[in-house]
Amino acid sequence: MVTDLERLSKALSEDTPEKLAERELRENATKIAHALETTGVYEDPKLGLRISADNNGRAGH
Amino acid sequence: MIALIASALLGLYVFVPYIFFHRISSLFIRLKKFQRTKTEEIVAGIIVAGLPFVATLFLFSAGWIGGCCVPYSLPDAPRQNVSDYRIVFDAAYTDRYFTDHEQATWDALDRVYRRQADFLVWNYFFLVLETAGFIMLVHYYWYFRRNAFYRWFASHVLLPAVSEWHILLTDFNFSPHEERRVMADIMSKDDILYRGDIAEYFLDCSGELSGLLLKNPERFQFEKLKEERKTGVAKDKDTDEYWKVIPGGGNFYLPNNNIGSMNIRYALPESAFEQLIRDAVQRLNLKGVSNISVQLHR
Repeated sequence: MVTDLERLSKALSEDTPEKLAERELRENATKIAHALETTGVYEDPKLGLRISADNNGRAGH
Repeated sequence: MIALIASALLGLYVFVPYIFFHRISSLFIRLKKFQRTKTEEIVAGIIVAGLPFVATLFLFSAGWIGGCCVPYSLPDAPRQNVSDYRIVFDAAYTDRYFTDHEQATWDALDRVYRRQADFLVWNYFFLVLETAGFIMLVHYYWYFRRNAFYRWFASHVLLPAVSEWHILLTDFNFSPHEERRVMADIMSKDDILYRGDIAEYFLDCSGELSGLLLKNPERFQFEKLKEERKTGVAKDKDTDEYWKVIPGGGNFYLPNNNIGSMNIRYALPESAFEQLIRDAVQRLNLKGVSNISVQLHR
């Protein structure tokens, strides 16, 4: 049984999906930059995300 | 007779306030439940009932409430107070005293009744305030917890009364404006992985989880994935297509005795989540990248 409910509540509010996703994106910044700048698409199956962007014509060069 | 009066007073001043507090609070917040002994029950009752009692007692002695005021006015209250209680006690203790002073006893009893009724009305009024205050302070935990004093108070007084399942299985920690869904991945004891939105949870008489009601339930087809892995057609990276909607209207009950483990998350609505990810990607300051769009698989 959980006794320190304040600590539990803090842990729950810190590990939200958006905070985890943001952390993951920061850690994979290089990979994301490479994917978006070359193909314009980055897929992250772990987060269940598909990020696409205009790469300003770089993919063709 | 004295035992009977003591029981009635214990009920009116301790048990009824405690039951009232518990029942009303439970309409809004799941409180912690556990098997208590009679002594623990009395101690819990004294703590809950103590605050309004002390407040009423203090305000009565200060003369700010009671006596000549509503609802039971007693203009002669201060002088006769002690003698009335003494007469009633003596009459309750010996039958002989009662028969010898019957009229005086009835008169004193009438005044004692009025004083008690007056005191109890105010006591219950403060109990209602205490209950409302408790519900508000717990309900707005997500808002007030930025305040250090409140955090200490919540940690020592409020949260120990709240069931941990309420904190885990509802959006208790978050602003209701965020409209988060409480989602769970649940591995059953017969090795089936389920996921869905937690619609309701049930506790048994000892406060332990007895079952979960899931909305939009899905079952993971692990056997299909294994088969397709063998034949080499499995999509290892994207397992989303192996989730199968459980038919039957979307209400799926999982009893606790079939729950092996549970992963709970508090998901924002898709549009809000996608916006946050878009902002996060923009903060990465990627050169030559614009018009970022984000799609979320479940």
